[in-house]
Amino acid sequence: MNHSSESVFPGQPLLPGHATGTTLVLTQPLNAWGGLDPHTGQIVHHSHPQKGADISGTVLVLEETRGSGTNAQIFAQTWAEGHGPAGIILLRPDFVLSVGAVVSTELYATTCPILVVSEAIYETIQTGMQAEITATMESATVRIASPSHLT
Amino acid sequence: MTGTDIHLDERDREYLSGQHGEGAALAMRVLLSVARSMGARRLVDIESAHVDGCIYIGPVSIDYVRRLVDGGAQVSVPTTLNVGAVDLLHPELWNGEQELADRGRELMDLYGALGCERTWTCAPYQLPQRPRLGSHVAWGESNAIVFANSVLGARTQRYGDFVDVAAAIVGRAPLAGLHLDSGRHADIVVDVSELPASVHTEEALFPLLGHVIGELCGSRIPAIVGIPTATEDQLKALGAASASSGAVALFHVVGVTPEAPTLDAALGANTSAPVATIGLGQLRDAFEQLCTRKDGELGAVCLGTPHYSIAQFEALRELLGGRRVHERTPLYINCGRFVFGEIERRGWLAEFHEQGVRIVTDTCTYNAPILGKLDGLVMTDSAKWAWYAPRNVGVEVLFASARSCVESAVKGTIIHEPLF
Repeated sequence: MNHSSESVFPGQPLLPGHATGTTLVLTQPLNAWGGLDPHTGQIVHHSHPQKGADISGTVLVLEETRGSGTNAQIFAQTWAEGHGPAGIILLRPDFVLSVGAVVSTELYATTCPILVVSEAIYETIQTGMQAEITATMESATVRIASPSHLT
Repeated sequence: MTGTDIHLDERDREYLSGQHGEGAALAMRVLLSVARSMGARRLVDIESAHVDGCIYIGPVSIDYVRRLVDGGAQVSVPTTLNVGAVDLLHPELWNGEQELADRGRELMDLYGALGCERTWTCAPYQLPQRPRLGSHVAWGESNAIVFANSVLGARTQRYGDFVDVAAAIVGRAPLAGLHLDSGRHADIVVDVSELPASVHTEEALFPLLGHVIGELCGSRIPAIVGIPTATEDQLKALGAASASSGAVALFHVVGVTPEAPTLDAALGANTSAPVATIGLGQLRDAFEQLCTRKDGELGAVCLGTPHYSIAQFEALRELLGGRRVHERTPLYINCGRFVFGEIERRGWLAEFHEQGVRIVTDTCTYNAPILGKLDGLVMTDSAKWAWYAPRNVGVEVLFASARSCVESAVKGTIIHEPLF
């Protein structure tokens, strides 16, 4: 860990919980209906820049979802099959994702904390960093460890 | 989840604590997670709900509703249901795997068991009981949402899967966004007054314009200037298109829709909203985007997305003029059960059957395996159908006016008049 630095950032909690994982940054919003395969956790939409990436167990970083309300079902199904993200960092509150996570928590006892961070913080996060999310109903933080040249 | 930061009234707390059953408690927890994401400080009573999510996506679709049913939940406000996967009145139209049909039916049954009306339509605004101006409702299905907000002046957010039914059970919605006066003002002006007058009499103007507006506005609220009059079916087509290519949940047409008697009224405090001018060029681009193919064999014609109205069936009778549909190119029309019953009562259904028109209820040809294998492209007058069908049911699409569509179905070959 000699060449890494660690920062702790505040966020607005949407869903409480604790998660650790490697970040996966989506450079475009994701329309999960037709864009995410719940059986594999892979992004499959032909025009998405992260097509082929596997969101399973990651700390997923995206601005928001896009399109259909059916996205909530797709995400819930993805968690149900063990391919959901461990935690989510958003730029804007997204109730479709929150609902998908809540339903999955209720039905399948999965957990996935979700928090919203400021644009300045959002822009420092890159794919491949180690992230730890700690969120309660009142507050949330994300601890990010990254190679020093990235900070 | 306790919802400590959201003010709950006594009844909300009863729901949350399970006094009305475990199903209703789950519904309240789901609703509070939404309220939290929207930054709502409290909930508001709703007068009705329209529940989407009757299409089977995977086991989670059934697991969720079964949990609600097993937990003793019932809807507490009048609640209509969106299309399901299966045409329950015409099961012989199913052209897919039996397993999928069985799961689709099971899901539809479970929603019915919650006390929802088995309406199976994406156009609940065609039913006799419609939300009134200013009333709070919780509607799902993008075209129904935009119609309720824009044309009826009722108030709903873009509720989607899991949420609409949760709101229906507890009779509440988060007081935020489009439920608030301040959330309903236009934040962009769309000026179409430079379009030539002849364009305004073309039915296809409305779906094409809707497509352009959706791409332009995303989830913003447009105030459209330059449309002197419009029927409900035209506004339906505009809204459905704008909610497919974009995420429009409310539009104002100045001088036409109820919250926009003037541009100032539509804009409220947003007096410096940007102005976008739309000309023929953008309508032509929209047409190009809505066609995956423009020539070759005709396989079928699909109308009725969103579900056909009585007025549209009336126009269809005139377009058909007593002629039969060509046997090689079936003409499908989607409609809700209520409208279906009405055309039967008027004696039109028998005529349509004689003319070879295939009427689909309870579902839609763009998301259910009905068309089967086709030897050619599909013509439609719906921007929404053209947007979703190529990836949902794997067909080639040619967008056209209703007149061209019907003419082509009768002749058995593509008759495509230039639109503009």
